[in-house]
Amino acid sequence: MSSSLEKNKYWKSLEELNNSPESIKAKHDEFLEGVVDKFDSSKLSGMSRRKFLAVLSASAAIATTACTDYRDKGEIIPYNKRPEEILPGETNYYASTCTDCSLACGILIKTREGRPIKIDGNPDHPINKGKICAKGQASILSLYDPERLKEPKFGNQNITWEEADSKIITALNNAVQNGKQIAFFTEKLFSPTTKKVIDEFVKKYPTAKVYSYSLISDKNRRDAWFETYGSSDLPSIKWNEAEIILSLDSDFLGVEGNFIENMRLFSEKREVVKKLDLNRLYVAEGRLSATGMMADYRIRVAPNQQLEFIYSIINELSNANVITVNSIIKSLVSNYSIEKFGSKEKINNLLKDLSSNKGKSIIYAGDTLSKEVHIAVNYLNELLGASNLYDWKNINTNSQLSSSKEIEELISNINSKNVEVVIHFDSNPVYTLPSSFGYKEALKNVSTVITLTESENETSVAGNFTLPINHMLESWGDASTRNNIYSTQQPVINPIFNSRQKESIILTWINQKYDVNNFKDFLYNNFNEIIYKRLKPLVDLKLFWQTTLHDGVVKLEGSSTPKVFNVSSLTKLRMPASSNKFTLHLTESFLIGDGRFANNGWLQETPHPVTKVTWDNYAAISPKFAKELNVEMNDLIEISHNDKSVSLPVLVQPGMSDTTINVELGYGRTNAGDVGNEVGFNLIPLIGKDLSLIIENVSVKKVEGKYKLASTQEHHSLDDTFVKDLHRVRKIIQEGTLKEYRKNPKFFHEQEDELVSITREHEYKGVKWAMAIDLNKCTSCSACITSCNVENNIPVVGKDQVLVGREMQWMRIDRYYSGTSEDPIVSNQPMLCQHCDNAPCENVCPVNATNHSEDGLNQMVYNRCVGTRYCSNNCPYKVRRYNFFNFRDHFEDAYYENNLTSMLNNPEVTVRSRGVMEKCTFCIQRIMEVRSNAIRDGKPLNGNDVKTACQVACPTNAISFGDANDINSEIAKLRKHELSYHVLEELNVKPNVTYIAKLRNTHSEDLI
Amino acid sequence: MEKLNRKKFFSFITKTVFFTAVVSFLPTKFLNSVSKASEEKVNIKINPEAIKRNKV
Repeated sequence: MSSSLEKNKYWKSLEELNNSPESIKAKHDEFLEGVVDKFDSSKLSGMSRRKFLAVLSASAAIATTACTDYRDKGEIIPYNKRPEEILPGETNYYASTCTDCSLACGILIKTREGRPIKIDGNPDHPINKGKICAKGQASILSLYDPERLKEPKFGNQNITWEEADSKIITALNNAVQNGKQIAFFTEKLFSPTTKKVIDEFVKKYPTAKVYSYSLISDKNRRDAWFETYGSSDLPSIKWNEAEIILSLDSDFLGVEGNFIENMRLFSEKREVVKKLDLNRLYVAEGRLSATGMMADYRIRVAPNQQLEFIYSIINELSNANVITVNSIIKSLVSNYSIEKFGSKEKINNLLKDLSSNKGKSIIYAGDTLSKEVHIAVNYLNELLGASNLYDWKNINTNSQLSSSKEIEELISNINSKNVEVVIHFDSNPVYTLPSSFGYKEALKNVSTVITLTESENETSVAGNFTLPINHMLESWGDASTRNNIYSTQQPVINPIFNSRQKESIILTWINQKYDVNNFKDFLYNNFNEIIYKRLKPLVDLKLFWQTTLHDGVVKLEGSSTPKVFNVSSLTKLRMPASSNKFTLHLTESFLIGDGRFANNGWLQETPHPVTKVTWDNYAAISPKFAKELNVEMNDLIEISHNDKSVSLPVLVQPGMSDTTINVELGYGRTNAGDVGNEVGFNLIPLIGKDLSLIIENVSVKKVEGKYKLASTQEHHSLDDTFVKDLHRVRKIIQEGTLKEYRKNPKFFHEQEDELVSITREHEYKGVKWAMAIDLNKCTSCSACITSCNVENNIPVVGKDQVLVGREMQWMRIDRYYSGTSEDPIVSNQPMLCQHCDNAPCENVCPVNATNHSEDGLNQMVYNRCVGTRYCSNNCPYKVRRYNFFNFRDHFEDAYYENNLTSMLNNPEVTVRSRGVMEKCTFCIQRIMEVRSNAIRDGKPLNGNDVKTACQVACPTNAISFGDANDINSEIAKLRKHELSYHVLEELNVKPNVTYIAKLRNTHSEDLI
Repeated sequence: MEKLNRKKFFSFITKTVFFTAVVSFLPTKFLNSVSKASEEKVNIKINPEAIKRNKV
């Protein structure tokens, strides 16, 4: 080793280390020896020439064989006899009903060449009015799920339908003969015809008994309404007429009740553009929900303290002589003070608002809260005149669920071997029933366990017979969730596999033989009985039936008698048990429901609206609670209750109550499919036999280990002075209060600098496409994201890729916090390609794969792109997505790369492969469709005719799209509105997405 | 340039032809069957009884 070795000297070779003359010369020469010499072929060695020819021919041979794509994509064969309904290249639409949950929204199914490719809301349906939720949008993927059951099974063996029917009919008849029970286990029923089929089944097999159970239900609310109004049918709420709304742990804008209708009606009262008309939303909750993010005022109240909270409001209002309570209630509530629940200012504002808005204010309690809370809330609403806001013409009818006692009785009967047959009618109680019931173990005592299901689940593997049923798009049916609405369901495609309609299976067992049209005829006859004969239209039955199928819905006359409050229900109220211990609040998953959508990759990968976490659930706790437990994000904690415990990762969530842990249900499934298995953590075992989702006095402790949660947006530190309120400083989010706006409508345009540009201005003479997003209305429901995913063939990438920031959604909703970590103010902002006029991505593409069109679109030419990702690097909005892999091939060992799932792809949109950049195109395929229709019809192109996928999907109509050069269009007016702004305007990239600033309806001019 | 050696030339041609033949007849069907990308044909048939809407 050289003695002249300096400290920290770096060397590449021993020669360099030893300072040899050659290494010194090499440092001075720019090029290596021989690089600039002239080429002389005679100096090539003979060996090299021979070898060159050998390698050349060998590689030619390999290339020849490799040229044929080993995956034969098949042949394109035109129709020999084209079906009348299909015109290649033309879209057909069919009206139907979504039956994936009990809301039964009206849907419009878009088909191409006989294949359903998109589901949107039915504009004619009076409840959802053309909108559906993110789950409904993504549910089309389950039609093309490669893991759908294809054949009936007995155990692990495939059997024929004839064999299955014969064995099952024998078992049913034996059960009746032996006097043993036949248990018919179902979810909440909302179809009048299905209910009739089940009634017929019970008539045929008299020992049959029906049990209905749903993990997520509004049973407490309905039981309370039965006590207070004598009926468990609920009136709809006129959210669009309420001036003051107080929500108690209710996510009515997220997942509760008829949230699609709730969002639409609520947003009608958050109007700042057409007229200035805002309601005021108070949310008192223990967790931060989507509804909480929309609140003007938010008060942290743990779910087990809500009864105390409502008592204290009654007490305060009674003391102020705003309401007169009876003596029973007075003595009950007199000791409760509202001061412990939040800042004095917020509480005073709440009381003042409730007092001065009698008849125009409503208090709404969450489904998970106890029956007593609902009774107290109904009483207070009655005293405040909130019954003005009950729509007694639109009644949400009840479908009775079995009580916990009835389910225990069933299991006891099973264990005593009094049940010979159990039929699971499209339900999954082995997963959804708490393990304390012992249902899975009890099933071993039943000789015949039949499960009717689309895909394998936890219940089907615990039984003998697994019978595949049709997907909702392959099924006939009907639905009636309101007394005055009847909607129809029609199959748009024949069953892809050897499955049957679930009602048809039951009818086969009733009639003892199978007929392919048995349920269709039954439905038609029932339609005649309950609808045609009731309405007595002037046309004949067949025409009326076809018209109803065409429209998807028929409106009926409904009852309009308001119910009277039953004062004796107040005797059910009790003193709340005081507890400062930890409460576990289990809630429905925003995106996968009660677990039924666990195998849907799009939904698993859509970021949660509040936490932005994908592919997992977590224990959301407050920062103070996290500090007490000495845990950080991704640390593991163990939650225990009644000898059961579950370990899961922590998510430190600003805005949580300090004694509440919030976990979403529906995760931790073991038989959901390759996509959904072992995703997240199952907390259903912790639920007790009372089926309450609020579990008090749980114990929590930190355990060893970490678990990385795949979040698409980091939680910015609210305490770090460098990033605190960065989104406000950079004017990414611009917000104000209603008072501030009324005082000075141009309040945030006052300080604007002149923007300098080094590029020439381009004048768009024809159509210029632009979009506007009203942030007053966006609830972060993510329907736009899933609609975009379906429309544009976005691949699912999986958790490991989301962890490195490679999620492929073209649209995202950014969520920002400001204020304090205890009581943050939350701002949501949908972000997509801004189609900038001075796009920084266009200048830097070395191959000109991204350019600007004559009508203002930033275009992407996939087959030019070589994947330098310079454009993404330059994009200030970070909206460009790069295909690091062919994700269809990469995800779960090519789970989605198969002939079946490829049927789902929208044929109008290129399916991108590896190495290509992509981004929002403003649905250019829809623009081209409208343009070509206009050319065909000889009419000018009307920008209002183009509706992007996100715009159609948005339940609150927050997104507007159209021709900015049409001065009469809505978009042109929105671009000029006082509250309009662009994100990162100072960069002068001239984005074409305009945001309408959010106004909060607070009492003061300050946001907090 | 080196004089072409006939024996070595034919040896080279034989090796190339043999190699090409082996590669061409590789059991691609077997490889496809073990791949998750299944070649199962999917039976899509419309339901002729569904009533369509002409315009949204």
